[in-house]
Amino acid sequence: MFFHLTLEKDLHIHPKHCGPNLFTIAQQQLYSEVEGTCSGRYGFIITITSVDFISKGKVLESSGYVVFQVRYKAIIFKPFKGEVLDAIVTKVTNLGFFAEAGPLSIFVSTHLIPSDMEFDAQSANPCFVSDDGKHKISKDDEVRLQIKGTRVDATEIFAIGSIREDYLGVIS
Amino acid sequence: MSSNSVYVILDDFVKILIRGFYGDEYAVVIDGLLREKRRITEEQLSQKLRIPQKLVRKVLSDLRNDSLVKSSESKIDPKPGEKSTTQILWYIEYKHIIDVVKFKIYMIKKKMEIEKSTKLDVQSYKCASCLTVYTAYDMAKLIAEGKVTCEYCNGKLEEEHNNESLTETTKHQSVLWGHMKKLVDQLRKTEGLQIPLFARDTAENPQDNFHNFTINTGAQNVNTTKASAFRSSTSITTPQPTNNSNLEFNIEICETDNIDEMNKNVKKENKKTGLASLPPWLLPSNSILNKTKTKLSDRINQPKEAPKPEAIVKKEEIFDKDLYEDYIKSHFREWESAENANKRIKLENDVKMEENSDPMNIDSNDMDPDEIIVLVGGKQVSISDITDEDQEKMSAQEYEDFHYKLYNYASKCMSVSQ
Repeated sequence: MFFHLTLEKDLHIHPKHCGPNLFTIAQQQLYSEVEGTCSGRYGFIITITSVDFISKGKVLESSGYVVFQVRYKAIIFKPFKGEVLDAIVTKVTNLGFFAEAGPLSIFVSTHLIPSDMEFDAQSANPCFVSDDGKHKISKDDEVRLQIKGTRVDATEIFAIGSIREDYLGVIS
Repeated sequence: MSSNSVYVILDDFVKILIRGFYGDEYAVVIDGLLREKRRITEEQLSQKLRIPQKLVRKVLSDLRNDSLVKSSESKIDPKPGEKSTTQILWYIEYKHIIDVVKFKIYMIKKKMEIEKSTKLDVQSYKCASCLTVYTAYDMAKLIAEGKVTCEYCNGKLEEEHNNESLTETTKHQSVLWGHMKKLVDQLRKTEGLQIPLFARDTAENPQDNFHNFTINTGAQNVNTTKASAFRSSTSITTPQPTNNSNLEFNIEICETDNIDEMNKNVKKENKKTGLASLPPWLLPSNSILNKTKTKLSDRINQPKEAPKPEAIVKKEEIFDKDLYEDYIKSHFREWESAENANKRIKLENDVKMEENSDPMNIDSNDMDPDEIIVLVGGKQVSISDITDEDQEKMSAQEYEDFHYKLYNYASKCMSVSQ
């Protein structure tokens, strides 16, 4: 699920940037440090929409770096259990397949794939094929899956998905 | 059901609960507390049970943290020359224990369901060579070169069949429910009972602020009926026991504190007196009002006195034209901005008349209050015929106009007298 949150961060600017373009450089550094990262608490920070406030800089006596407290708004993506997502298959193995929904990597094990779909190792691209041959899950296919659980580390989020339920599976 | 049998059921319930989830010392302390049937200090309990007071204190504190035992502080009457002290009294509240147990059983059930669903959903994998166990969450970091291998030995991973762990989980759960069956059965016996007070000493000491009530846990007991203001004489009623355990509290809850009504009364009084809204330095003199017709003078109720020359001089000093103009302009700013052009012209004429202050120019008709017309609810009424009821019927604008005309009339009378 996506959110638009206001977050705060302490930016450390090298003293060499202390000049007329200090705030511009601070913003650029904020964008580079924050966008694309993941925190366990908020999820994946997709993009920064606006920088609301940059405080006065405080010089650290030991290092000479200048610390700015920055308040900014960003779009966040955080997966939740039970959420249904569209994802793209990146890898298919005998134990299941991996899919990606943006920055989130989801693993769907064979246990959570319908029992009528079996792993076909003999084909050129490994894939899961249904008994009647109508449905096939291979690399770069779009699938709709439901998140069954998430594990949140400090800087990463892992999820496991399922396509067993109704209206889930390959999107033709 | 007799009260003794109710106590037996409740005591058995507490005993089964303590013996099922706590150690022997907890059972001993709770049994002692149940025997007392009153609020008791830990010192008294330790003496009765002949076990160290520290142990009793520890057990009671642990049970209080688990919400099974309650405590209250009561003041000890001090001897002359000594400070007053408080003591902690321990007791059990049956109703509270029942609710706590019901909640905990519900949470256990919920947790077991979550565990079951987690076992179903999260597949586990085992390395064939080093037997390391991984979950489905670890698969993302184990994938390398298109294959999933063990991170330690690069061995092949195999699925662990969840069926065994699932059956184990269900087996554990069924064993747990088997152990708790006795407790659940005893809990079912308490359904529909009128839960009595545990601490009988509280009925004798109502000033200790103890919750002195009996709760019906949703019983459908035919014999008891709730107290009702509409109870007929022929209805079946239970005889009221004459002991001190049933104390009645009569509480009156008012919806408002009547402050608004008091303010309204004050406002009404202000509204009634027409000249009360004017500042005191602009009020016309008594002698002027006596010259007017009886209705107007009756309403104002000023004493009849002949104007003294000193008083007239003082009033001249008080009556400041500039102040008067500023007051009129600021007070009736909204009236001045009214769309009605006639009103605006009249105001300007009035101001000019005040500036000229020539009493000979004043039209004799203006002095007659009957000729001054105001609107009351859209109807034209003479100013001298206005009553308090008419003032209440007026809209805000009409009320302002009325006061303005009244004031003008009064000021004209005053200027004429000068």
